[in-house]
Amino acid sequence: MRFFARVILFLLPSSLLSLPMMAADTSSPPVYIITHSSVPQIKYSRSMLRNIFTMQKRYWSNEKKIKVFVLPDTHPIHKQFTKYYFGLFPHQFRRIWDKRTFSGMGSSPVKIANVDKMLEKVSSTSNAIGYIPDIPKNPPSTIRIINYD
Amino acid sequence: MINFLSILLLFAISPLYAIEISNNLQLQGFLSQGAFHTTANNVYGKSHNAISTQLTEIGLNLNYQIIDRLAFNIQGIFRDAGNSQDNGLNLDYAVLDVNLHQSDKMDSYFRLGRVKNPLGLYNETRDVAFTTPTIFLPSGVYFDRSRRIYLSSDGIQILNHLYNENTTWLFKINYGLPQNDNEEIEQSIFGQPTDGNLYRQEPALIAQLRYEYNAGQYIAAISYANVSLYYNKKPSNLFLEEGSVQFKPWIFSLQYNQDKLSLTGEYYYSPNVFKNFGRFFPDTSPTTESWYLQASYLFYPDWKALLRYDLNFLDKSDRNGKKSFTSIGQAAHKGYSKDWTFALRWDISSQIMLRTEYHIIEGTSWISNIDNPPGIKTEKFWELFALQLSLRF
Repeated sequence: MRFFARVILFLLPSSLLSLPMMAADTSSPPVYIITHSSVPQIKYSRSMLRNIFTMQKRYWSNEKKIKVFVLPDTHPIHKQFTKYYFGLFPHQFRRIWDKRTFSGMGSSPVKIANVDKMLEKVSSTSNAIGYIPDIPKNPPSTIRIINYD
Repeated sequence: MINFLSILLLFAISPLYAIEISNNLQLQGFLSQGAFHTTANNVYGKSHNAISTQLTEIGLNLNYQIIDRLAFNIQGIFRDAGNSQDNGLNLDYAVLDVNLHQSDKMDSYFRLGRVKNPLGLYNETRDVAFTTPTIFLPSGVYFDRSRRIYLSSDGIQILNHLYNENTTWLFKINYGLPQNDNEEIEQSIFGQPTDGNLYRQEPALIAQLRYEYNAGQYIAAISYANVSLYYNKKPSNLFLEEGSVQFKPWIFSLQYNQDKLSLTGEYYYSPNVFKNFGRFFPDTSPTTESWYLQASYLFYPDWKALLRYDLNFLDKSDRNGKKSFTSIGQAAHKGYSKDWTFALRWDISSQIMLRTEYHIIEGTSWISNIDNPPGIKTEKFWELFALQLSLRF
């Protein structure tokens, strides 16, 4: 029993530490989550965002299908995004997406080649969500930065 | 092989991924090829004193969002796996997916059609190489011989997600007919092929309750199935009666996923009933027990090493197989397996994966009866080498 307790003590802190620290972080995030203006502008919790980006949650509160856009697994912004918001790594997201799509539980996020295209796709696709490293000076009028806590 | 290489080249030069045919239609696929060598006994065709390449899996799936809250998912898999009974093209799943309720606390779905069965951590995607930890899944929990009955159900699925701060509770319940083509099970029961066949007659109940912390950092799951098959005999067969088999497995699963380290354990406990096959095959109710422990480590970006110990006893009250097999003139080692697995996986890109594994095995409880026909001696101690290349888009 003591052995198991030690194993749990060994495992637990690392998992807690890897939880995102954004609640306490008041400086600007390294990555902004953006949506198309058609997406309900409510306050999203971190767990809701996680459920959206893992593709577990498939519909917005207005019952429209959520359209998730992501950068390639190896893209530095994608790595920053998964780490900052969810304390996870790209390969962990990949495993979750694969398991869901190849068992008939839903679709995959749509892979976008680069940040410019991400802005373009999210701004032109209804019900879309994605992320970008910086907010441009004159963002497209159909882009919203997500409101989260 | 030429075709395979040209496809590989195509994947290497054109980074396709989840093709968006239109805003609401998505296409995905994969292709895997394995190669096997054993020091004794056969896997996927003839691997003893030879190299078998008889494990090819090609899958293609479509996800179609018909209207808000209504989707359709379909996947076909072409499979060539040794001399197995489900070689060829099979409809893996075809599901109409209706969202009944959605909120930030709960999502509920009603799903209709051919649905995958949620058993343990890997059954739903057992034929999709990218999603499994090794080429051979832990054989005592994911028996290849009974893959057909557990693969999918033709019926309904109720799916529920309950969301909390960092956790998700997932509940799936399937009620539907299992698949036919259970020649491997038939041969396991009778020890040889017969002129009749086992067929599905009544719906099976399969359910899973699953807990996930932070998108699967910790996973715990309990799965249960209750599946029956009936034997259809030829009238001319005087040795057999039209009996039935029933399997009622429980699977307890635990997994911890850190960035690099992943620890997994699963325990399988299955009371089985074989009855009414006539006086030559007396009724029997053995309980199958299996478990495995597995550790994998991402030691270099895209390189993963894995170690696993896997145990299986067809009848837990007969752990050395003597009571069940020696008494009928067969090798006792057919009753159990103990398997050490060492594996290495290299994700060459997000679309190409190469992996290899080496097994040191005692016992033959899970090997295919079709690839190891009766009359050919099986060996108690054997080693297995496997290599697999997998592509996906």
